[in-house]
Amino acid sequence: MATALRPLTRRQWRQYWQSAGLHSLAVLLLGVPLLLGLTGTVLLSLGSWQPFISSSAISSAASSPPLSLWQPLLQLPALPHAILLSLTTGWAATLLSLSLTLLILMVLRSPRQLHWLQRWLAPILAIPHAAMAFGLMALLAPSGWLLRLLVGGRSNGLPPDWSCVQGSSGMSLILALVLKETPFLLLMTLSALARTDAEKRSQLAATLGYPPGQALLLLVWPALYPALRLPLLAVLAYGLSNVDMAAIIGPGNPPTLAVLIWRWLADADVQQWLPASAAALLLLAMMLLSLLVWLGLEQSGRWLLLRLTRSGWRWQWPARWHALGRGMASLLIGLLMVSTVLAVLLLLCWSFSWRWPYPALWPQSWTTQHWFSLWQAGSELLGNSLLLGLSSALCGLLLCVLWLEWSAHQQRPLHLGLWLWLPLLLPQLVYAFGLQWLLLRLGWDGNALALLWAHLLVVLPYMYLSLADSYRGLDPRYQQQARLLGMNYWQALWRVKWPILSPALVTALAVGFAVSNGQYLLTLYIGGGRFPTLTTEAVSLASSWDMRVIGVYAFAQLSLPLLGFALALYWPKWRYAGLQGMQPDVVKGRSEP
Amino acid sequence: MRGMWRRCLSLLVMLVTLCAAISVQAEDWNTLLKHARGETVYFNAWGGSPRVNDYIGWAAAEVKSRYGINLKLVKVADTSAVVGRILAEKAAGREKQGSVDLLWVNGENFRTLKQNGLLFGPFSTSLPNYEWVDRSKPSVSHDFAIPVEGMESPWGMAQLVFLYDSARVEQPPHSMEALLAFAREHPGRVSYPLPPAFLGTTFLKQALLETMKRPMRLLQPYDEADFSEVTAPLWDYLDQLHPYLWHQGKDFPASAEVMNHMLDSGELLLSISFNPNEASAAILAGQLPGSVRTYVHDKGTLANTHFLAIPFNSNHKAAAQVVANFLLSPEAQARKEDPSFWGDPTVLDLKLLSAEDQARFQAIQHGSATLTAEEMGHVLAEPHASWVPALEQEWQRRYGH
Repeated sequence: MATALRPLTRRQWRQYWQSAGLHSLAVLLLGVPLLLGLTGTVLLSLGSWQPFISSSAISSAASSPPLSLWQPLLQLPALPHAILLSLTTGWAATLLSLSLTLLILMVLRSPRQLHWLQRWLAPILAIPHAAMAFGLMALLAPSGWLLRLLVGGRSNGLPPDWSCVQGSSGMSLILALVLKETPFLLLMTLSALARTDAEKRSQLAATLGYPPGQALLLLVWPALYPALRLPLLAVLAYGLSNVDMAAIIGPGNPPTLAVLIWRWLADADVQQWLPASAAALLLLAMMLLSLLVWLGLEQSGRWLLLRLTRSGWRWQWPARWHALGRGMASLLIGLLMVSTVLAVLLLLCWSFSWRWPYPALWPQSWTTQHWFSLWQAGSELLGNSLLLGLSSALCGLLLCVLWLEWSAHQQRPLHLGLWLWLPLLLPQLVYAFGLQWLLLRLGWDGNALALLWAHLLVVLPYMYLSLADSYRGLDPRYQQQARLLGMNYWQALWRVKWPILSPALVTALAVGFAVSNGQYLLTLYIGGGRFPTLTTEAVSLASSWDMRVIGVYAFAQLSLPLLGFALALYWPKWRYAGLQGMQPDVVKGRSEP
Repeated sequence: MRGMWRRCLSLLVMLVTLCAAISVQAEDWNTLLKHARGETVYFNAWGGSPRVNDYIGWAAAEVKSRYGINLKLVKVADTSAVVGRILAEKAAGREKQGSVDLLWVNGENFRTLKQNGLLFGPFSTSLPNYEWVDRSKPSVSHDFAIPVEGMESPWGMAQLVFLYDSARVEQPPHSMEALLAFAREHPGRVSYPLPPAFLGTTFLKQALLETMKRPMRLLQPYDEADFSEVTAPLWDYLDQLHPYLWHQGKDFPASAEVMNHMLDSGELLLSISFNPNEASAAILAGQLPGSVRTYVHDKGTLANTHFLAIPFNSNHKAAAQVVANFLLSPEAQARKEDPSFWGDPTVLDLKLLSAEDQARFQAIQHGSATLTAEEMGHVLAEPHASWVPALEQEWQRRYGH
């Protein structure tokens, strides 16, 4: 009681102000645009946003009573199917990716294998979602390479009329999502593994007589989960709301809810934008509900794991079963890896082909013409992509370090949670339209700074996620030691703390760069089309369905983030050659001395 | 005698005013050219075709060297997104400094732009090169039955054609009725783009025109009262056709581009295009086999014109007009019609051109997959643009799930 009544000291006041400043910075940067964008969408969906579309084109819709827009939307026969599709594909992909991640961890036990795996994950992460979808089409479509290999030559010269891709069940979309999300979850798990006492836990479990698989599930997983919760939710949110993969390899009639919205927004008929915004809110509601269900599942899973642990039950399976399980799991993992690699190679093959008719296994004629045309057009695209990516990643890094460094000195941690989650969990379809309107009002659209800001919106959360644990997890004694040796605060940061953290900082930069490079909707809407990047070019050319051009741009698009990740991986090796403790080795917690 | 004098005088007055008008126009044009120099024109266009992009790249180099204009192509995946942006700019009160200076547009998008007062103009009829335009074509003056009134400048002609691979199909179907028989014969090998994709909706309109009794009705605006009566034959036809389509008509290719891709692999036996030179150009680009050919329906096929428009808030209207005028020039139009560059038919009337310019067009190799003017048959006028949303919604209600 007495402490509460005591007047604040100057130092405490300063802390309050600083914390308030940092919070409002986060709110201004992340919260305001998102919430305004969202508000715009809500108003539009109620048909009451007269100033937005004050035209005769929608006067009938706008003058009708609020909520009247929802009726035709809810009566749309395709809507229940579309919602169901979004839910099944999103959930199935997330749960499958999670199970696969666990399975891979169970099968690959040795640090060497994990190290090898980790090295392969970054390039897979750099593959753009749309490129992956096209690669899978080239592999799995009825005229795709797999069927050419299996039945080509024996049929009547025509590919079968099968719906193996784009089928109404959404299987191909689930597969594409799993192929893209499992590497992401795996990388997140591997980096989380290095920061937990996983090795000790599994040793303990082994002495208690748990088989390794059960040890992972019962003892290691609960320690890993907190670091994986947000990535998992992001995967779920992406699965429920993505447009780029679903529009290519997903079912077409009806499509998922997100694609349905996307189609309406692309309609020449302005009236269609109003149901589109209503449907965007429906999508948002679906996502919020899914998040709640996920959190509920989390609780019941925790309860179940606790019961299982307390019961002292041990898997008592015959060794043969274990071997069989491992074999099956390895086969599954191998299949996934092979299909990823094949999808990428097929795109590469297409990019060099001139004619590649069915059922030929290899292109009939080759050309470098498509690459040459990229070479001619590429310098501006490359420049924009590089500039935008680098500047947003650098700004993002600055802000992340600012927040993390400050929160390290606060008694109460910085509550950025909500503001960081929002851009990750809100589908861009929901706020991009409103955000564009806001910037138009301010006269800032088509402005490089506004575009940078929009990119920061999505780049920041990913960078923060990638950096926060390493930054907070650093042993404070390094800094204390530096101060003891006579350095001031800034010197200790500049000469000791940040160099030690530099592998993590560089990785965060690479992550931010890659995320910025992948933005299509925001770059087009906010940039007013004035800043063509490799990604905007790739997306607009994708509508040609010319696999050769798509192949070229997929690789162009992939090259920059890949370069970023490679630099992040090799720069510390070169800079700190000979300093073993400075090597970016996420599984070092498990490696032998 | 007096009457003759009067007539002569009035003729003289007319002549003088005409000359004055022409010279004023020429002077206007020269000041326009002066204003245009050094300006940057942001040209927003569908960027899904490398051939079109390359053609615009050539035009950019030409207007740079001739008029000192920087033409920047903004490639978009969908023109409606640009229309949306202009609409949002108007709503936000941005009367100047619009993000778009020139826009490739027609049909429903033009309707939205014109209805909402988002266009600059009239400008097109006063462009110097407009005098060569073939004004006898109804689609030049009426874009999807909506009067153009100088608010957009014609750029290219389009007529619905169908593509088939002569190595796989001997006799393609020359009517909607024959198409049904063809689909019965080759189940799972025929489809059309998913409406509201541009050519998907066009297919619906074509099928409606071929099956209905009074096609003239479609030139009038849509009316809810007789919609079901007018369109009943279309739904009857589709109900019969769908079971024999690709994936039993439960699913449709996303666009005409996807259909061309599937025609190449043999998943489909027929494809669809709005460009009569599409097949020849795609063969030259290696996208389709050399055996692909074009055909049209005996009752005629839908034809329209695509245009260039200037938004109301463009800051570079002078330069945008100069570019639109250049793209109308016989030189630019001839290059555009050549399938080795783009293959998009001209809007000009060749009879009006000088011998030199006519020679440019005569030199074009149209390729063996392009039909001659006679083979193209007669054209059907596009229905009034107001029919489009109604048709799309009804299709969605019946088949969209």
